[in-house]
Amino acid sequence: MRWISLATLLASACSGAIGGPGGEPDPDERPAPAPTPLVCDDGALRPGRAPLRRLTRDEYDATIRDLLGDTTTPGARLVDDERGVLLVDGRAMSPLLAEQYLTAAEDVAARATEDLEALYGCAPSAECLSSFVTRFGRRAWRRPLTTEEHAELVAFHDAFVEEAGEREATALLLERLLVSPHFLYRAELPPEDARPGDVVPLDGFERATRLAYTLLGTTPDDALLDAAARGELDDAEGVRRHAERLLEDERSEAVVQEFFHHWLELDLLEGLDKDPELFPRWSSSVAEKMRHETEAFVHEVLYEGDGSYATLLTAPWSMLDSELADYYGVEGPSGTSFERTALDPNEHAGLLTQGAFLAPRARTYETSPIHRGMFIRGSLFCGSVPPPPENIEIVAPDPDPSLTTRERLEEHRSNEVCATCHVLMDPPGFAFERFDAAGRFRDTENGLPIDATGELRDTELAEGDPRFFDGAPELARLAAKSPQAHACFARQWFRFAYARSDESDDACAMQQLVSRFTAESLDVRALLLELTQTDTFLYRTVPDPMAPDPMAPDPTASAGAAGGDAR
Amino acid sequence: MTSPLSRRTLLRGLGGVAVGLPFLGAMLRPGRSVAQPSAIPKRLIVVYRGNGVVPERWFASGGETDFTLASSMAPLARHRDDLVILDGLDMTSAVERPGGGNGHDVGTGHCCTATAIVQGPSGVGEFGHLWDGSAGGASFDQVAARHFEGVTPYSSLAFGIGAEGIRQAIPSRPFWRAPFEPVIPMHSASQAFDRVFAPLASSVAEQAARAARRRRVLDAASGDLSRLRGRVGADDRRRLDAHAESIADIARRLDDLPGACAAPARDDRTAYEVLGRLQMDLATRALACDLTRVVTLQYSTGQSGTRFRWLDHADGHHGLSHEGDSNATAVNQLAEIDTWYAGELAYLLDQLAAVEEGDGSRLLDHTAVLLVNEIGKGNTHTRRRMPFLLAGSAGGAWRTGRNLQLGGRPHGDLFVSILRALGLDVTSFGDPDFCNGPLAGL
Repeated sequence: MRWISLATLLASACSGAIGGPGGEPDPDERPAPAPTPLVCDDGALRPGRAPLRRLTRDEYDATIRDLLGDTTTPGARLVDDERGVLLVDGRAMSPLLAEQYLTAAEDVAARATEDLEALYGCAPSAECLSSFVTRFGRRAWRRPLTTEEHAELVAFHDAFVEEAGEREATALLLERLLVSPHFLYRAELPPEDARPGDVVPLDGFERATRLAYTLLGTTPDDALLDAAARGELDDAEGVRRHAERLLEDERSEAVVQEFFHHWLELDLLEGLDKDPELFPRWSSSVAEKMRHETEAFVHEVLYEGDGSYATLLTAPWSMLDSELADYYGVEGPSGTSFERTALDPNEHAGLLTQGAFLAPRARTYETSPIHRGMFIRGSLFCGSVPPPPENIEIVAPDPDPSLTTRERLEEHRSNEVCATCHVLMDPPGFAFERFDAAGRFRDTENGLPIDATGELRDTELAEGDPRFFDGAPELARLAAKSPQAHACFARQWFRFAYARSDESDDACAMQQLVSRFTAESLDVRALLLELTQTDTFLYRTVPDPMAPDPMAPDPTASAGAAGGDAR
Repeated sequence: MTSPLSRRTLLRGLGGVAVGLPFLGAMLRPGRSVAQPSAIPKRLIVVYRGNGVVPERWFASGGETDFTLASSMAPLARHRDDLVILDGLDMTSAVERPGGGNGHDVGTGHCCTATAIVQGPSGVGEFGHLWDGSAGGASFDQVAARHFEGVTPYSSLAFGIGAEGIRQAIPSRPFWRAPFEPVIPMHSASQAFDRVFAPLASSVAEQAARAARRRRVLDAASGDLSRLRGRVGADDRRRLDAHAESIADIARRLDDLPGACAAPARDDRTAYEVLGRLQMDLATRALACDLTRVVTLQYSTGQSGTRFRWLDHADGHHGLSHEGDSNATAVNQLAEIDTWYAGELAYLLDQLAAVEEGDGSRLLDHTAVLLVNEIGKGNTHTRRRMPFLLAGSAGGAWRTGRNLQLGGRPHGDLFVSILRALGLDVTSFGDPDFCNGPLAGL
């Protein structure tokens, strides 16, 4: 486990001008850190960390659905997952959640045992129950049960039959299976003879489980478990073949859409308000249609089109219905279905000029170039933006109708302390100034001409590309060709798929993802496939069960020393 | 020690024969506590709300007892004599040894733990947020909860208002059972009702049968957990241990079925301004029935964009809190938010005052209610002069009706005083470098 020093990160991000003498206000003049040559072709396996993952709420629902045909989404009654940005890993367990799992299992089991013969697949008998435990146990725990487990589960059921009857005993058996950590976690256990520190391949069932949850968001089905049993997932090529098959499954689109939902933070549209006097046409229905526009656009590019990241960013068209086209003030389809609609290529480009991106990154009455720019800087290019300095009054400029929003943000450039970081995020946000706070195109602001020029500082662009741009389409085209943006998109997928950020041990996996992504013309599906081909996906390092917990409070040390940057 | 009216007591009185009894709600009128005069328990309620305050309209003027409430505290005027206004309390640990992250993250992680936050294995994300970091220790409410473990069915109950589904644990959670174990609240009154109160409405026989089958399932899950535990690394072991503890917590309740408790009706409204009061009603009943001694209420989070529509605000709270002091509209709206929260706190105090203990005193008199915030003021993110507010005296542990000038004393001191009032023998809390023992002057 490696602890990244916050101080180091901040220093590298924001040139040290804040509060310290000798800082360099111009980030372009900072010397680049000397790159360490990356060696990945030495035959060594580098799987990185593989933290235990609990099923997320969505995964829980999909799993119950596919296991038992129960579509009541019992996960909706669980507390929502605590999550990091794009890390949709179920994290903390709590007494509340444990109790909710128990209640959910009781409800699911009661429904599943209404028709015992249908559940068992045979007329209830000792033999039938035994085969049900074998079959259902493998599905629920995503691996064959051991002989001992099978015996214990049958005995668990039998012990209850006499006092409560067959149905109740079976319900109890299901509850027992569904509150077990073998069900709630994607447990991956090393071979008995492995030693701590060994790098071992995941077995076929563990790979099947990773494949199914990563690509379909649900539990592996019998076909995939059978393939694992036949050894078809024992090599990377077999994993790839099955990954290709799973990507054809219609359930995979839900996972892909979820990625875009989190990356673009589409939930910001929920309950989004705009000043009704300035934006009388804004409504929750418009917000809902904007979300639909983006989802339909992602679908059109990835499933009907060339599947390319560049197209996502630069397509001079979108998916509109008549109401949304009318709202945007463009010519579009006449009906209520979302259809491909050509837009002015001088003003529109892909995801970033869609309302779902623009409207939430604005205030109720004016745009917020900072928030739009922070997405470009942070989420599109994975560039760091340090937090604002401590105990400095951070004030938004007062409204002034004689100035444009951009002019009022001038303080960010003229004040050296602010400028250090704001030159990184405000200018990319200015690219979108020709779109108002409610996502509509505008020619002027307060009757004043709009300046949508800017520059991308401290950002790796394609060879020969200028760092200056005028308007969103130019910015989008720079990003579509930028190696840093390509690597960032791959990194966002790494985080989403593996539920953690990439660390130094993952440098080779990242390089593998990026080089395949760029070699395949930025095809997003190729990137998804490659996620199943890294050492991180296929192998794991055997943990040391005896190792002390680095996070355990040390009673002899002062509590403050636990801060990772203090050591 | 069990609660005086626990089902076990009743069963014993019936010679241990499990017989179906009608719902015992009639035995307990709302507005009356189960506590007997001889042993009125002390309770703790911590209320979190975020984004700082407008200090000049929050802190009182005048002396320790002859003070005048500032305008934002006006709704608390009827509880003036129940208050201890804390002016000049610093979140010193968060100033001196923050542990990283931005102002809201640091403040949230420190506000009830007084301990440096820790980065998780994934380090720092793009905006200075920690990917998977954690508070560095247990919050003081959870230390109190552990003290009461086994005494009441729930060691603590956590209620949330608009605090669900938020990215990143650190900026979201002020209360922690341990590092990496945030207290996740019950997000709706119906969820809280179904979990805590609905089971009490079933007969003793039904409850006993349910407990018996649950015990079997939980025992088996515990067995699976302990076998798994021996085969994983430290990071995963911590998660599995938290899981095992959670199961033990449920199992403990099975052994001590809670007594009857007259609860408000189930109510599934979720609007922010309504839900807070529903949750407070349930929290008050849970305390009155001695189902728990420790309650936390979490209103949204730091950096939350909660829009106070019912105050006709166009902008969300966090955005407003960054406006300059010269923006009179924004300052007025922020003060309106502070006033609204003060009114909600007054409502809670009303409820606690309305419950009569066995000796005729008020539940409020036996409770320490603490309002906390992760920062002092929105546009500076200061962690000095924290707008914490204390009400009630936890059974006379301190005098109320006072306005204290604390001159920058660390907030860890306050937690020592509160924990001692609740019966814990502690001399320091959180980072010992920033704690002097009980809060001098309280």
